[in-house]
Amino acid sequence: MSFTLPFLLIGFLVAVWAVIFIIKKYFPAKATHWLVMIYVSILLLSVAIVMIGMEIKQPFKDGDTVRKVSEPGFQEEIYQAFKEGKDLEPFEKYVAMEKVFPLEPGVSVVKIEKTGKEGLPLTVFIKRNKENSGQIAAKVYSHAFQEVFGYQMTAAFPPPKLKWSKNQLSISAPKVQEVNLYFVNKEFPVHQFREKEKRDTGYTSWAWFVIYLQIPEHIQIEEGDNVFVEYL
Amino acid sequence: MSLAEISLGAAVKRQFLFKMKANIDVYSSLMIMQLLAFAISYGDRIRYAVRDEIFLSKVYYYSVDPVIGITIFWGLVTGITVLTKGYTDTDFTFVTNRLSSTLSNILFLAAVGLAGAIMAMLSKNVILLVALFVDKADVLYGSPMTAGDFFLGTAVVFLYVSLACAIGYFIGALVKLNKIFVFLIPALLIGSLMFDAAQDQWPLLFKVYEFYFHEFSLAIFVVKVLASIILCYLASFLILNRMEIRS
Repeated sequence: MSFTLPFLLIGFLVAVWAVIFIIKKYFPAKATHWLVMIYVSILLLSVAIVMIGMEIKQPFKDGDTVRKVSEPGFQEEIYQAFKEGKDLEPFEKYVAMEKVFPLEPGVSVVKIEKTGKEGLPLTVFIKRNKENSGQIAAKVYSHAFQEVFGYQMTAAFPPPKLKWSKNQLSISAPKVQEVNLYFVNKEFPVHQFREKEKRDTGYTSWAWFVIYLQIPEHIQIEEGDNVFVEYL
Repeated sequence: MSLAEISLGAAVKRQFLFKMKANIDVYSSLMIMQLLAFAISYGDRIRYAVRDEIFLSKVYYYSVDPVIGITIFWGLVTGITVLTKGYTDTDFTFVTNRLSSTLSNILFLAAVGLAGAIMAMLSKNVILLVALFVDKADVLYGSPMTAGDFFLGTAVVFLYVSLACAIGYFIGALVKLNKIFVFLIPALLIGSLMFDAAQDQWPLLFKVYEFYFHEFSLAIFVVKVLASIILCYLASFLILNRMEIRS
């Protein structure tokens, strides 16, 4: 594309020069002529820039694979996998963060709390390790989905932040994400005679995250407000 | 009395070319109106803001429809102004009669209407440039304009603008016949709206709008518009033909 642009611009300039040459031959040049020329040039230049520089996405066709993730049942599947101790391999692609927090010697209580009131409620799965590894292993599974008017958007939904300080694990849930979605419509004279697009007019947004902690068995857990802990 | 004989075709051609040169300022008004439409379209681009506990989604819509609408309105105004005294007096620079004057006016309106239609359709890309550079919208969702869309859109906008020009020309002819139409035509339009509102029925203007804009068959639409254009110009010619020269 970077090769095409200079040729297009040169072609455009030659065309502008040719039109000016022809116009000068037949018409006396007036300010309005030049204004029209400039306006038409901007219109033509914008065609080239939009063709090269913009991506216009059409309604998604591989909706089935996308929709599967959006089904509420999917969230249940990962919960079941945790509870029943199933293989977590299918969910590895949703791992957004992995961290290890070292425990200070002699620590017997760890507090888990949620900072901030905003965001989704926190669900924390805790697996007790029989051997004392001297650390807490944390894994965050996260996924977000957004579908607007039949278009699947790439919704960037950050995972929650984990902060370890003074034997306290503070989890801040991601804030509401501001997403700007840009749509372009067909012009009404075209729309009037084209087959009407069967467009979904719905809006669906869906996000989940699960925090999975592996903690030595002798450590007691103190739950903060708005934190739902499930022991595996 | 001139001894030189000139055919109707040659007279029309000369007058048409002269009008194309002399009336270049119609493009200035078109540009100003289209720029105004860009501003309207840009100001109206945010349509929805949906908020849930996960996302605050602002939905932007970019549309060239205001530009097309204003171009059609410009066609109506241009159709009216073509019959104002300043414009018609130039006809008498040449050997002319009502027929050659009307035909050259029709050709002139068709030519500027076509230019207006092309400009209106191309202006979609300017709106998209604004989206790209001002709103930082590097990804747009929607259907891209294909070559087929462009040609269909241009043809349909040209028909709409030509229809507006023909209606404007007819209004101009009525005003030329009697200045009372300057007040009578708006009064009739507003009166009809008020009457329909009082009768609790669909306004007549909406039925006229439906007649053209809700026609989904291209062939029937073309027939409807062309018939209306011919009717307007024919009626205008019959009105103007009864009048004195230079009236």
